[in-house]
Amino acid sequence: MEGALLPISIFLLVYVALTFELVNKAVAALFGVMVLLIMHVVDEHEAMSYIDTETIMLLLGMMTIVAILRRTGVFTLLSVRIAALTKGSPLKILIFFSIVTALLSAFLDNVTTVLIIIPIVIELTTGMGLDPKLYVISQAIISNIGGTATLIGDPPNIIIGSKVGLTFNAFLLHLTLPVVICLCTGLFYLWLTNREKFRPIDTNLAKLFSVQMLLEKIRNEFLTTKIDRVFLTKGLSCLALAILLFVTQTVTGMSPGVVALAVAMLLIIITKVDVENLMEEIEWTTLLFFTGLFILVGVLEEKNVLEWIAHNVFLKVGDNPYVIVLMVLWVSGIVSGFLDNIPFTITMIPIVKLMLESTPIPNDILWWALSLGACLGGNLTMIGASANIVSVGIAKRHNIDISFLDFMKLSAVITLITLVIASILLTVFLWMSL
Amino acid sequence: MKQEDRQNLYKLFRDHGDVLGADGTARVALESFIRSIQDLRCAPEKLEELVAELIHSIKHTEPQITPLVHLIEEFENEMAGQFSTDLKATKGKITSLLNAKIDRLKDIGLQMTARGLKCIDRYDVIIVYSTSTSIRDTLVKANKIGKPFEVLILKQDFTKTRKLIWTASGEKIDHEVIPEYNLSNFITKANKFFLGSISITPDNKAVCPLGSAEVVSLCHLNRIPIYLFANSLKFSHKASGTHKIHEKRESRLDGQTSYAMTIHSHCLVDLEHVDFIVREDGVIPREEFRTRFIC
Repeated sequence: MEGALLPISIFLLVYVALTFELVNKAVAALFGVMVLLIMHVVDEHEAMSYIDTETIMLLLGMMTIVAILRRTGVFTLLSVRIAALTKGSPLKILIFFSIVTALLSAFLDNVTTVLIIIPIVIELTTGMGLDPKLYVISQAIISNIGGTATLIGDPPNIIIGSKVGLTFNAFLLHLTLPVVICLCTGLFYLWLTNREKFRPIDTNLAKLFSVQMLLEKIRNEFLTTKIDRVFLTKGLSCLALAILLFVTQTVTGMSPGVVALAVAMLLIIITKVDVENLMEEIEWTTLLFFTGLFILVGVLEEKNVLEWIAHNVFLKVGDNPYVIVLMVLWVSGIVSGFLDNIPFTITMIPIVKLMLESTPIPNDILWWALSLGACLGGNLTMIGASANIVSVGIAKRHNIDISFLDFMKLSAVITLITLVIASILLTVFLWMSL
Repeated sequence: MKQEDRQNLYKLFRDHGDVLGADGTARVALESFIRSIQDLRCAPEKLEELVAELIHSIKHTEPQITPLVHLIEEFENEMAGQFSTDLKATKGKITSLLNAKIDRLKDIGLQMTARGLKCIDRYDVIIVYSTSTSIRDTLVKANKIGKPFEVLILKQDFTKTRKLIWTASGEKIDHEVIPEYNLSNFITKANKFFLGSISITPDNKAVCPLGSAEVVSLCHLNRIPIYLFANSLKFSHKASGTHKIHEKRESRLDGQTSYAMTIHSHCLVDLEHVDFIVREDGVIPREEFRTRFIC
């Protein structure tokens, strides 16, 4: 670990800056990189080689596709239709919106999903005199659970998929079942602990009438753009094409990053959107943040710091595969609850690779443990995932204050339940694989 | 119905009124009534009580939506003695009576459009302030039949003006959007003002969207003819003071300054300033409607 002191110090300082939000996350990561370059710890060519272009291409491609799809208004239309289907039943609001949130966040990013869903849920629940906090928090939690199901659903999965070379189908095959079970159990817990709040309203005419008036208001308020059918057809066709190419990755040989970016470019060309305008909707900060982190972690890897951590921290528990899998799951889950799960996942990937070299575990189970831990763990606290912070922010704009404790009271128990479910499923899967 | 639920419902009525106008709100309320009756699960003997409770709430909104109150009162009279132990039959009866009210509202709307068309002359520049289905439909129809005219849309908060701007843009009506407080700079350009309302009261007042009274004053001062669109359902037999214009006192914080501010949902326009009332049965000049309708 010669010459590792400076990169370790810089890495820890960047982590502190990120955790306490001292500066913009991209600035923090890139400033760390600049210090390493100035101090000649790494040269610029070497630094560039650490960037995982596959991940960046996948993120940029998906951000572009989602930005164009959002303009069609189709997701808002879908949410308004779902609101109408609930007919104001509190339990249906929870279940129907949770299903939509889970599905959307599996294929879009979680933040986009809550930006679409939460305002409608707030309008519906406050208008009905229900407690909106319960619904806001539950949708944030569900978006994190739903995003766990696919390669493109949550940044940790994008990173794991790209850096490890796991396919879209492999994610679907291994994570759909845990996600569905976690979703159902989470909803059951929400119902069980709030049964009084989910009583039906169909025996109260005045309440039913208010709901109908409210649904009409929601239609007027949220369906503010006319759906351009041609534009919508092009957008949905391209999304379908992207998913088809993700699924047939082993046949076409096209990596998810290539698919996402190629489809995004095709979509820009056929929809003729204003590119300058579109570029403003791309989260460049996130992309630069990823770039900086890849370099910082690459330097640590180069200086054998991660190897040291793997051997002296993670592999100290021995070579029992069950213990290793559960440790990765729970450490990822708990750490992701308090720290951003993106830098954590980027840091963990080389460590997990080293652990696998030392103790081979079949069927990529250790990667699934990392994915489940990093994604589900984001639910532990309000700051554990971007979707949580954004949801609480939207609620605040509607004069609904959700405190750290309000959020955690509900989310921590669900996180523990989902991590226990993941532990059981991973243990069974490992037992079947050994 | 709990007081809190009632206040929520009244707010919903006001929100709809801001976007759709009184007739649009009445239509939404009647359709909501039908859908809620269809979704209701209750014992047959309980239905009359539940319907009565809802009717009471609808009749006492803040402010009162007079066209809706009239239609609901008619419905109430028609339903008297009609509640039976056959829940399905009673629900069917309620639905058909309410549907008839919606049809009547639509018929009146068509007649209003026909009358409104006569108020638009070639090359008119018409000021429009409030959201009103009749005014919107009239402008669309006039444009469709090729009458050349221009609309000055006075923008209030966007929610209230949004539908009007969409209609004008979507239907390619020649229009200009100006802030309501900037009307004085355009007043010499305009030659008519179309105004919507929710009630006409026997004490010579019209209950209109907030801010209408100021625009009316400016137009009246500048001798711009004011056309008040008010179908017969909007004529109330109760004085303006009983129409329960909603009043809200809220605390505000602008920069370092905190203060309390009182806001009303609607305002009263003196009918003395109105030149014509456009009803489904004709366009009535001030002198005539004073003798025909005002106490």
